[in-house]
Amino acid sequence: MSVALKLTILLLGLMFVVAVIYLLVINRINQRNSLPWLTGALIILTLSTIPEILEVAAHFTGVDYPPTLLFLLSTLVILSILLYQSIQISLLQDRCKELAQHLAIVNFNEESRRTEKQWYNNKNTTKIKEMSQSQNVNQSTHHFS
Amino acid sequence: MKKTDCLIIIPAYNEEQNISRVLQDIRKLDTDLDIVVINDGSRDKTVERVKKAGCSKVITLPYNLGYGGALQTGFKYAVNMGYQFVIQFDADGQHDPEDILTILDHLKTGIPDIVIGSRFLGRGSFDPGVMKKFAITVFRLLIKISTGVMITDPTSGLQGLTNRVFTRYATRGDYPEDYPDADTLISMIAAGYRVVEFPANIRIRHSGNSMHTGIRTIYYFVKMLVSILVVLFRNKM
Repeated sequence: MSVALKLTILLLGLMFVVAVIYLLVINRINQRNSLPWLTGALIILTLSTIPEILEVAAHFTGVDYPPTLLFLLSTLVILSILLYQSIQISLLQDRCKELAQHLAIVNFNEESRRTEKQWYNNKNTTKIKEMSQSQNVNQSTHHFS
Repeated sequence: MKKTDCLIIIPAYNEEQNISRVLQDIRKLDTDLDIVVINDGSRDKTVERVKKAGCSKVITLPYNLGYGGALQTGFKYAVNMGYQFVIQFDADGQHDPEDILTILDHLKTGIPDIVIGSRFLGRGSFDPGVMKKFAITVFRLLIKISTGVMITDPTSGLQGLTNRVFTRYATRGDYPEDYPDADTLISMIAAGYRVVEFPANIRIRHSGNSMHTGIRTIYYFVKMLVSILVVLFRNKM
Protein backbone atom coordinates (compact mmCIF):
# COMPACT_ATOMS: atom_id res chain seq x y z
CA MET A 1 0.00 0.00 0.00
CA SER A 2 1.44 3.37 -0.99
CA VAL A 3 2.10 6.01 1.67
CA ALA A 4 -0.27 8.48 -0.06
CA LEU A 5 -3.15 5.94 -0.03
CA LYS A 6 -2.37 5.02 3.57
CA LEU A 7 -2.46 8.70 4.58
CA THR A 8 -5.68 9.37 2.65
CA ILE A 9 -7.49 6.45 4.29
CA LEU A 10 -6.14 7.46 7.71
CA LEU A 11 -7.30 11.06 7.21
CA LEU A 12 -10.76 10.00 6.00
CA GLY A 13 -11.08 7.56 8.89
CA LEU A 14 -10.09 10.26 11.40
CA MET A 15 -12.51 12.76 9.87
CA PHE A 16 -15.26 10.20 10.14
CA VAL A 17 -14.53 9.47 13.82
CA VAL A 18 -14.52 13.21 14.55
CA ALA A 19 -17.84 13.64 12.70
CA VAL A 20 -19.50 10.81 14.69
CA ILE A 21 -18.17 12.20 18.01
CA TYR A 22 -19.37 15.71 17.06
CA LEU A 23 -22.87 14.33 16.27
CA LEU A 24 -22.82 12.57 19.65
CA VAL A 25 -21.85 15.78 21.46
CA ILE A 26 -24.59 17.86 19.84
CA ASN A 27 -27.14 15.07 20.51
CA ARG A 28 -27.92 14.35 16.87
CA ILE A 29 -27.15 10.64 17.30
CA ASN A 30 -27.47 8.56 20.45
CA GLN A 31 -24.72 6.39 21.95
CA ARG A 32 -26.43 3.17 20.90
CA ASN A 33 -26.66 4.16 17.22
CA SER A 34 -23.17 5.66 17.15
CA LEU A 35 -21.53 2.38 18.22
CA PRO A 36 -21.70 0.59 14.81
CA TRP A 37 -20.34 3.70 13.05
CA LEU A 38 -17.52 4.15 15.57
CA THR A 39 -16.64 0.46 15.38
CA GLY A 40 -16.57 0.61 11.58
CA ALA A 41 -14.41 3.74 11.61
CA LEU A 42 -12.01 2.19 14.14
CA ILE A 43 -11.61 -0.93 11.96
CA ILE A 44 -10.72 1.24 8.97
CA LEU A 45 -8.29 3.31 11.08
CA THR A 46 -6.55 0.21 12.46
CA LEU A 47 -6.21 -1.36 9.04
CA SER A 48 -4.84 1.80 7.47
CA THR A 49 -2.25 2.33 10.24
CA ILE A 50 -1.20 -1.32 10.43
CA PRO A 51 -1.49 -2.46 6.78
CA GLU A 52 0.35 -5.67 7.63
CA ILE A 53 -2.93 -7.05 9.02
CA LEU A 54 -4.52 -6.34 5.67
CA GLU A 55 -1.68 -7.98 3.78
CA VAL A 56 -1.90 -11.14 5.89
CA ALA A 57 -5.70 -11.20 5.51
CA ALA A 58 -5.39 -10.63 1.73
CA HIS A 59 -2.92 -13.50 1.51
CA PHE A 60 -5.30 -15.87 3.35
CA THR A 61 -8.39 -14.83 1.36
CA GLY A 62 -6.59 -15.00 -1.99
CA VAL A 63 -6.88 -11.27 -2.74
CA ASP A 64 -3.99 -10.10 -4.96
CA TYR A 65 -4.19 -6.40 -4.16
CA PRO A 66 -4.61 -5.80 -0.35
CA PRO A 67 -6.31 -2.33 -0.60
CA THR A 68 -9.16 -4.04 -2.47
CA LEU A 69 -9.80 -6.09 0.66
CA LEU A 70 -10.03 -2.86 2.64
CA PHE A 71 -12.75 -1.56 0.30
CA LEU A 72 -14.52 -4.91 0.42
CA LEU A 73 -14.48 -4.80 4.23
CA SER A 74 -15.72 -1.19 4.21
CA THR A 75 -18.61 -2.17 1.92
CA LEU A 76 -19.48 -5.07 4.22
CA VAL A 77 -19.43 -2.77 7.27
CA ILE A 78 -21.72 -0.29 5.47
CA LEU A 79 -24.10 -3.08 4.39
CA SER A 80 -24.24 -4.42 7.97
CA ILE A 81 -24.98 -0.97 9.30
CA LEU A 82 -27.71 -0.44 6.67
CA LEU A 83 -29.30 -3.76 7.61
CA TYR A 84 -29.14 -2.79 11.27
CA GLN A 85 -30.79 0.54 10.41
CA SER A 86 -33.56 -1.26 8.48
CA ILE A 87 -34.23 -3.45 11.52
CA GLN A 88 -34.35 -0.34 13.70
CA ILE A 89 -36.75 1.42 11.27
CA SER A 90 -39.05 -1.63 11.21
CA LEU A 91 -39.07 -1.75 15.01
CA LEU A 92 -39.78 1.97 15.24
CA GLN A 93 -42.57 1.70 12.64
CA ASP A 94 -44.21 -1.05 14.70
CA ARG A 95 -43.92 0.99 17.89
CA CYS A 96 -45.24 4.08 16.11
CA LYS A 97 -48.23 2.10 14.82
CA GLU A 98 -48.97 0.74 18.30
CA LEU A 99 -48.75 4.24 19.76
CA ALA A 100 -50.91 5.78 17.04
CA GLN A 101 -53.60 3.12 17.53
CA HIS A 102 -53.50 3.47 21.32
CA LEU A 103 -53.65 7.26 21.11
CA ALA A 104 -56.57 7.17 18.67
CA ILE A 105 -58.60 4.82 20.90
CA VAL A 106 -57.79 6.76 24.09
CA ASN A 107 -58.77 10.05 22.40
CA PHE A 108 -62.00 8.53 21.16
CA ASN A 109 -62.89 7.12 24.61
CA GLU A 110 -62.12 10.47 26.22
CA GLU A 111 -64.29 12.33 23.70
CA SER A 112 -67.14 9.83 24.18
CA ARG A 113 -66.94 10.22 27.96
CA ARG A 114 -67.03 14.02 27.61
CA THR A 115 -70.01 13.91 25.23
CA GLU A 116 -71.85 11.49 27.52
CA LYS A 117 -71.17 13.70 30.57
CA GLN A 118 -72.38 16.77 28.70
CA TRP A 119 -75.53 14.91 27.66
CA TYR A 120 -76.29 13.92 31.28
CA ASN A 121 -75.56 17.47 32.48
CA ASN A 122 -77.92 18.91 29.88
CA LYS A 123 -80.56 16.35 30.85
CA ASN A 124 -80.17 17.19 34.55
CA THR A 125 -80.35 20.95 33.87
CA THR A 126 -83.56 20.46 31.87
CA LYS A 127 -85.02 18.29 34.67
CA ILE A 128 -84.16 20.91 37.35
CA LYS A 129 -85.68 23.66 35.20
CA GLU A 130 -88.84 21.62 34.70
CA MET A 131 -89.06 20.87 38.44
CA SER A 132 -88.61 24.50 39.45
CA GLN A 133 -91.17 25.57 36.85
CA SER A 134 -93.73 23.06 38.15
CA GLN A 135 -92.96 24.21 41.73
CA ASN A 136 -93.60 27.81 40.69
CA VAL A 137 -96.89 26.81 39.08
CA ASN A 138 -97.89 24.92 42.25
CA GLN A 139 -96.99 27.86 44.48
CA SER A 140 -98.90 30.34 42.35
CA THR A 141 -101.96 28.03 42.24
CA HIS A 142 -101.78 27.65 46.04
CA HIS A 143 -101.46 31.40 46.52
CA PHE A 144 -104.37 32.04 44.21
CA SER A 145 -106.62 29.60 46.05
CA MET B 1 -71.58 2.60 24.99
CA LYS B 2 -72.20 -0.84 23.46
CA LYS B 3 -75.65 -1.62 22.06
CA THR B 4 -75.16 -5.10 20.60
CA ASP B 5 -72.60 -7.89 20.39
CA CYS B 6 -71.62 -7.03 16.84
CA LEU B 7 -69.51 -4.14 15.64
CA ILE B 8 -69.21 -3.01 12.04
CA ILE B 9 -65.73 -1.65 11.36
CA ILE B 10 -65.38 0.74 8.43
CA PRO B 11 -61.82 1.86 7.67
CA ALA B 12 -61.93 5.12 5.71
CA TYR B 13 -59.21 7.09 4.00
CA ASN B 14 -60.28 10.16 2.02
CA GLU B 15 -63.80 8.81 1.45
CA GLU B 16 -65.82 12.04 1.79
CA GLN B 17 -67.69 11.23 -1.44
CA ASN B 18 -68.84 7.75 -0.41
CA ILE B 19 -68.99 7.46 3.38
CA SER B 20 -72.35 9.21 3.97
CA ARG B 21 -74.11 6.95 1.49
CA VAL B 22 -72.48 3.84 3.00
CA LEU B 23 -73.62 4.79 6.52
CA GLN B 24 -77.13 5.68 5.35
CA ASP B 25 -77.42 2.35 3.52
CA ILE B 26 -76.36 0.42 6.62
CA ARG B 27 -78.88 2.38 8.71
CA LYS B 28 -81.63 1.32 6.29
CA LEU B 29 -81.11 -2.27 7.49
CA ASP B 30 -82.98 -1.26 10.62
CA THR B 31 -80.69 -3.23 12.92
CA ASP B 32 -79.18 -2.11 16.16
CA LEU B 33 -75.62 -2.89 15.11
CA ASP B 34 -72.85 -0.63 16.34
CA ILE B 35 -70.75 1.06 13.68
CA VAL B 36 -67.27 2.46 14.14
CA VAL B 37 -65.51 4.39 11.40
CA ILE B 38 -61.71 4.36 11.56
CA ASN B 39 -60.55 7.57 9.97
CA ASP B 40 -57.13 6.57 8.67
CA GLY B 41 -55.55 10.02 8.63
CA SER B 42 -57.89 11.38 5.95
CA ARG B 43 -57.06 14.81 4.58
CA ASP B 44 -60.56 15.52 3.30
CA LYS B 45 -63.92 15.95 5.06
CA THR B 46 -64.47 12.26 5.87
CA VAL B 47 -64.91 12.89 9.64
CA GLU B 48 -67.39 15.73 9.11
CA ARG B 49 -69.41 13.59 6.70
CA VAL B 50 -69.48 10.68 9.16
CA LYS B 51 -70.68 12.89 12.02
CA LYS B 52 -73.23 14.55 9.76
CA ALA B 53 -74.55 11.11 8.83
CA GLY B 54 -75.26 10.54 12.53
CA CYS B 55 -72.44 8.16 13.36
CA SER B 56 -70.80 9.28 16.58
CA LYS B 57 -68.16 6.57 16.69
CA VAL B 58 -65.20 7.86 14.72
CA ILE B 59 -61.71 6.86 15.77
CA THR B 60 -59.21 9.15 14.13
CA LEU B 61 -55.67 7.92 13.60
CA PRO B 62 -52.97 10.61 13.81
CA TYR B 63 -51.52 9.57 10.45
CA ASN B 64 -52.29 7.21 7.59
CA LEU B 65 -51.44 3.69 8.80
CA GLY B 66 -52.85 1.77 5.85
CA TYR B 67 -55.90 -0.48 5.46
CA GLY B 68 -54.61 -3.22 7.78
CA GLY B 69 -53.46 -0.76 10.45
CA ALA B 70 -56.87 0.92 10.44
CA LEU B 71 -58.68 -2.41 10.67
CA GLN B 72 -56.46 -3.51 13.55
CA THR B 73 -57.38 -0.30 15.40
CA GLY B 74 -61.03 -1.36 15.05
CA PHE B 75 -60.20 -4.86 16.33
CA LYS B 76 -58.44 -3.39 19.36
CA TYR B 77 -61.46 -1.22 20.09
CA ALA B 78 -63.76 -4.24 19.70
CA VAL B 79 -61.60 -6.25 22.14
CA ASN B 80 -61.67 -3.38 24.68
CA MET B 81 -65.45 -3.10 24.42
CA GLY B 82 -66.07 -6.86 24.59
CA TYR B 83 -67.82 -7.39 21.26
CA GLN B 84 -68.50 -10.97 20.16
CA PHE B 85 -68.40 -10.40 16.41
CA VAL B 86 -67.00 -7.81 14.05
CA ILE B 87 -67.82 -7.18 10.42
CA GLN B 88 -65.30 -5.46 8.18
CA PHE B 89 -67.03 -3.22 5.68
CA ASP B 90 -65.38 -1.01 3.05
CA ALA B 91 -66.07 2.72 2.94
CA ASP B 92 -66.09 2.95 -0.84
CA GLY B 93 -69.70 1.80 -1.26
CA GLN B 94 -68.85 -1.42 -3.10
CA HIS B 95 -70.28 -3.68 -0.42
CA ASP B 96 -73.98 -4.35 -0.16
CA PRO B 97 -75.29 -3.73 3.40
CA GLU B 98 -77.75 -6.61 2.94
CA ASP B 99 -74.74 -8.94 3.11
CA ILE B 100 -74.13 -7.86 6.72
CA LEU B 101 -77.18 -9.86 7.76
CA THR B 102 -75.93 -12.92 5.87
CA ILE B 103 -72.55 -12.66 7.62
CA LEU B 104 -74.27 -12.36 11.00
CA ASP B 105 -76.40 -15.42 10.31
CA HIS B 106 -73.27 -17.42 9.46
CA LEU B 107 -71.36 -16.18 12.53
CA LYS B 108 -74.23 -16.93 14.87
CA THR B 109 -74.29 -20.59 13.84
CA GLY B 110 -71.01 -20.87 15.75
CA ILE B 111 -69.43 -22.95 13.00
CA PRO B 112 -67.14 -20.58 11.06
CA ASP B 113 -64.55 -18.28 12.60
CA ILE B 114 -64.15 -16.19 9.46
CA VAL B 115 -66.95 -15.46 6.98
CA ILE B 116 -65.87 -14.00 3.64
CA GLY B 117 -68.18 -12.31 1.17
CA SER B 118 -66.90 -13.62 -2.16
CA ARG B 119 -67.29 -11.32 -5.13
CA PHE B 120 -66.73 -14.24 -7.50
CA LEU B 121 -69.62 -16.31 -6.17
CA GLY B 122 -71.81 -13.24 -6.05
CA ARG B 123 -74.94 -12.02 -7.68
CA GLY B 124 -73.43 -9.00 -9.42
CA SER B 125 -70.74 -9.29 -12.11
CA PHE B 126 -67.33 -8.41 -10.71
CA ASP B 127 -64.42 -7.56 -12.98
CA PRO B 128 -61.25 -6.73 -11.04
CA GLY B 129 -59.16 -6.12 -14.17
CA VAL B 130 -56.52 -8.35 -15.77
CA MET B 131 -53.67 -7.64 -13.31
CA LYS B 132 -55.71 -8.13 -10.17
CA LYS B 133 -57.49 -11.16 -11.61
CA PHE B 134 -54.10 -12.77 -12.22
CA ALA B 135 -52.94 -11.91 -8.67
CA ILE B 136 -56.14 -13.35 -7.15
CA THR B 137 -55.77 -16.56 -9.18
CA VAL B 138 -52.19 -17.01 -7.93
CA PHE B 139 -53.24 -16.36 -4.32
CA ARG B 140 -56.13 -18.83 -4.63
CA LEU B 141 -53.70 -21.46 -5.88
CA LEU B 142 -51.18 -20.77 -3.13
CA ILE B 143 -53.88 -21.03 -0.45
CA LYS B 144 -55.18 -24.27 -1.97
CA ILE B 145 -51.69 -25.80 -2.19
CA SER B 146 -50.60 -24.74 1.30
CA THR B 147 -53.82 -25.40 3.23
CA GLY B 148 -56.01 -27.56 1.01
CA VAL B 149 -58.84 -25.04 1.35
CA MET B 150 -60.34 -23.30 -1.67
CA ILE B 151 -60.95 -19.60 -1.10
CA THR B 152 -62.42 -17.98 -4.21
CA ASP B 153 -61.92 -14.39 -3.02
CA PRO B 154 -58.89 -14.08 -0.73
CA THR B 155 -58.73 -10.30 -1.21
CA SER B 156 -62.31 -9.55 -0.18
CA GLY B 157 -62.67 -6.76 2.35
CA LEU B 158 -66.14 -7.92 3.37
CA GLN B 159 -65.53 -10.28 6.26
CA GLY B 160 -67.12 -11.31 9.49
CA LEU B 161 -64.94 -12.44 12.36
CA THR B 162 -65.59 -14.06 15.71
CA ASN B 163 -64.09 -12.76 18.94
CA ARG B 164 -61.42 -15.48 18.83
CA VAL B 165 -60.21 -14.26 15.44
CA PHE B 166 -60.22 -10.50 15.94
CA THR B 167 -58.62 -10.84 19.38
CA ARG B 168 -55.76 -12.66 17.66
CA TYR B 169 -55.56 -9.97 14.97
CA ALA B 170 -55.63 -7.21 17.59
CA THR B 171 -52.81 -8.65 19.63
CA ARG B 172 -50.60 -10.05 16.89
CA GLY B 173 -47.59 -7.90 16.15
CA ASP B 174 -47.32 -9.28 12.62
CA TYR B 175 -50.84 -8.31 11.45
CA PRO B 176 -50.10 -6.59 8.10
CA GLU B 177 -50.32 -2.83 8.15
CA ASP B 178 -51.25 -2.56 4.49
CA TYR B 179 -52.98 -5.59 2.96
CA PRO B 180 -54.17 -8.37 5.27
CA ASP B 181 -55.29 -10.81 2.57
CA ALA B 182 -54.05 -14.23 1.45
CA ASP B 183 -51.11 -14.28 3.90
CA THR B 184 -53.40 -13.74 6.90
CA LEU B 185 -55.87 -16.35 5.63
CA ILE B 186 -53.13 -18.97 5.18
CA SER B 187 -51.83 -18.35 8.67
CA MET B 188 -55.35 -18.54 10.17
CA ILE B 189 -56.35 -21.72 8.30
CA ALA B 190 -53.03 -23.31 9.29
CA ALA B 191 -53.78 -22.39 12.92
CA GLY B 192 -57.09 -24.29 12.70
CA TYR B 193 -59.58 -21.47 12.16
CA ARG B 194 -62.58 -22.29 9.97
CA VAL B 195 -63.32 -20.12 6.96
CA VAL B 196 -66.52 -20.05 4.92
CA GLU B 197 -67.49 -18.00 1.89
CA PHE B 198 -70.86 -16.82 0.73
CA PRO B 199 -71.92 -15.09 -2.50
CA ALA B 200 -71.60 -11.34 -1.93
CA ASN B 201 -73.18 -8.67 -4.02
CA ILE B 202 -70.67 -6.16 -5.34
CA ARG B 203 -71.69 -2.65 -6.31
CA ILE B 204 -70.02 0.00 -8.41
CA ARG B 205 -67.78 2.47 -6.58
CA HIS B 206 -69.43 5.89 -6.82
CA SER B 207 -66.27 7.96 -6.74
CA GLY B 208 -62.58 7.84 -5.84
CA ASN B 209 -59.97 5.24 -6.75
CA SER B 210 -59.33 1.73 -5.48
CA MET B 211 -56.15 1.15 -3.44
CA HIS B 212 -55.12 -1.46 -6.03
CA THR B 213 -54.60 0.49 -9.23
CA GLY B 214 -51.75 0.78 -11.74
CA ILE B 215 -48.26 0.19 -10.39
CA ARG B 216 -49.66 -0.42 -6.90
CA THR B 217 -51.16 -3.71 -8.12
CA ILE B 218 -47.67 -4.95 -9.02
CA TYR B 219 -46.28 -3.80 -5.66
CA TYR B 220 -49.26 -5.44 -3.92
CA PHE B 221 -48.70 -8.71 -5.78
CA VAL B 222 -44.95 -8.91 -5.07
CA LYS B 223 -45.38 -7.82 -1.45
CA MET B 224 -48.11 -10.42 -0.92
CA LEU B 225 -45.97 -13.18 -2.45
CA VAL B 226 -43.13 -12.32 -0.03
CA SER B 227 -45.61 -12.18 2.83
CA ILE B 228 -47.07 -15.60 1.92
CA LEU B 229 -43.57 -17.07 1.77
CA VAL B 230 -42.81 -15.68 5.24
CA VAL B 231 -46.06 -17.16 6.61
CA LEU B 232 -45.27 -20.55 5.06
CA PHE B 233 -41.75 -20.53 6.53
CA ARG B 234 -43.11 -19.52 9.94
CA ASN B 235 -45.61 -22.37 9.84
CA LYS B 236 -42.87 -24.85 9.00
CA MET B 237 -40.64 -23.60 11.83
